[in-house]
Amino acid sequence: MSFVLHELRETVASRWRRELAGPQTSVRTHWATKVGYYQAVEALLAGGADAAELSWTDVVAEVRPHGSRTTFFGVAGRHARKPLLGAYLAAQRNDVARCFERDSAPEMLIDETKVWSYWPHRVGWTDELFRAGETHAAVECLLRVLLDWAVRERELAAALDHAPPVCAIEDLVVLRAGQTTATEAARILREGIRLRLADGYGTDGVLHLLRREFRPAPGPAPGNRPLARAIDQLMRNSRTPSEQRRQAVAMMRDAIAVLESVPE
Amino acid sequence: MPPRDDEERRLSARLQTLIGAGSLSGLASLREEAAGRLGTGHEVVLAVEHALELRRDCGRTPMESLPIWLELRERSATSLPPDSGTAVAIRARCRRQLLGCGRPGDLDELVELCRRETDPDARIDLALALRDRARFDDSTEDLPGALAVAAEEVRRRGADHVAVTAARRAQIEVLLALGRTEPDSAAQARELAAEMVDDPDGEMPGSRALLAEALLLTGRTVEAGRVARLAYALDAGTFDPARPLLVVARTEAAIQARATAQEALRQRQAFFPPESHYVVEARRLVEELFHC
Repeated sequence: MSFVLHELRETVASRWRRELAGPQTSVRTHWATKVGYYQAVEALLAGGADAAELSWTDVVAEVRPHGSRTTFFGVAGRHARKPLLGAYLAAQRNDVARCFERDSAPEMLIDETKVWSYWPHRVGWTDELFRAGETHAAVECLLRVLLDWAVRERELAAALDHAPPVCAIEDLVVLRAGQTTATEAARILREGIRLRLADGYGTDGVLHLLRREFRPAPGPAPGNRPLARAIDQLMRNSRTPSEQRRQAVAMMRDAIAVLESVPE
Repeated sequence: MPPRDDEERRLSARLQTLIGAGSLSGLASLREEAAGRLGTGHEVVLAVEHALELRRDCGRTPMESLPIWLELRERSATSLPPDSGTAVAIRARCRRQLLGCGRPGDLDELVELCRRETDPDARIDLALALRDRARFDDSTEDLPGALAVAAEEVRRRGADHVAVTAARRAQIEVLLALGRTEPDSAAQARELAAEMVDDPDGEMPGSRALLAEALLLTGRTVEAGRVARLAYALDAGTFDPARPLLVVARTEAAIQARATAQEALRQRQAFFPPESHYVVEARRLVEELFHC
């Protein structure tokens, strides 16, 4: 898990966030401007605005203390300064970038707002992830944290057809170490958010469904080896309590009766 | 819009991660840290306590757990709105302890609590409480109502497999109680329990015990014994693991049946209160087998 944690600290989104919220004054000012716009988007969606209909003028009007056309297009759209999409393209992570290519600047801003909103949840997740032990548990933790975020930020999470924060897509790809593509990760996470918010599933119900996605492909039939091993162990161990031996005999008799009754 | 509290969000995400990782020691440390930062009455702190005590329940009897959950329920009632997710979850766990204690007074209290609740899970608990109450006097008066509640919950829960399974289990439990006098109910219980055992997404713990009881009720004694023996071996560590032994005992010859029933009684006495229906049922079977 320590190698995975190292990789998670060095994802494109982590490096982008670290640079923007880092010590360099000029970049930090830009980050503060971005956060003002993220807060405006969050407030608009929470107030019932339709993400698909959101225009740059709506967003600018919501920014506090005030927004402008110049700062809006400085933080959102194709010519924005230091956009997250640009960081993925620069890092040649086109697989992830393709998952959130949008036509309009407000939609691009919503995608970044999701990442900004989700980030404290991601920090909490990585803080405790060393306890997860195995990859499948780490994936389960990621899903739980994502669903917790979605329930707290229902309107933002539901925006753009329940698109997940792109950093969560990248994280899932890291955890699955090549077994899940970015497109598949985006589909799975989107489905999780949709089920939790739109279809009234509980967290356990969503996890139950999504676990299917990560189940390993069935291997070759194990034959009788596991059975033979269990029988061998029982016969060799003279310290097996008599009650356990009796129950084992009863179960084997049951199995013989059933197996012999099945026609060849 | 209220200002975002990143600290609270981080702590909540840590909680979700610790639940997924199954870390008891992590939950205990998080509880201390979160209480220090947010205060003991904060929803995230109470959610951590809920997760922590839920894990600790695995090593306690329902009698040991009940006072802990009653105290947590009191605290959550003073700090959280009644419809907060954490308060609802704590009250639900409190009801589960009453169901687990299974004494007549616990079940009467539970029925009253469930009737006052708006949480849909309380409807499942109501069906189970009515079913368990009927075990003491073999009355069937409340069972049709309990069955209607459980069946309605199965329908209402849509496609959420986990939520539907909880309601389905309650439905089968009530059908089994009705099945003692109604062959159609027993047959329906058998059909539904067989579906749960054959679930392609994996069998839910305890479903084999239900199938074994249904098979016994419908006269398929040999098969009932076979399923119950497997259930006893496979369900070790689940709630009430001795339950399949009561079916096994009813399928065995006299001497062995007495020993099996006594073992079931011994296990239930070690876990449940002596006045609970769990112990009463096992004791009745032992007495029946010794007098026949």
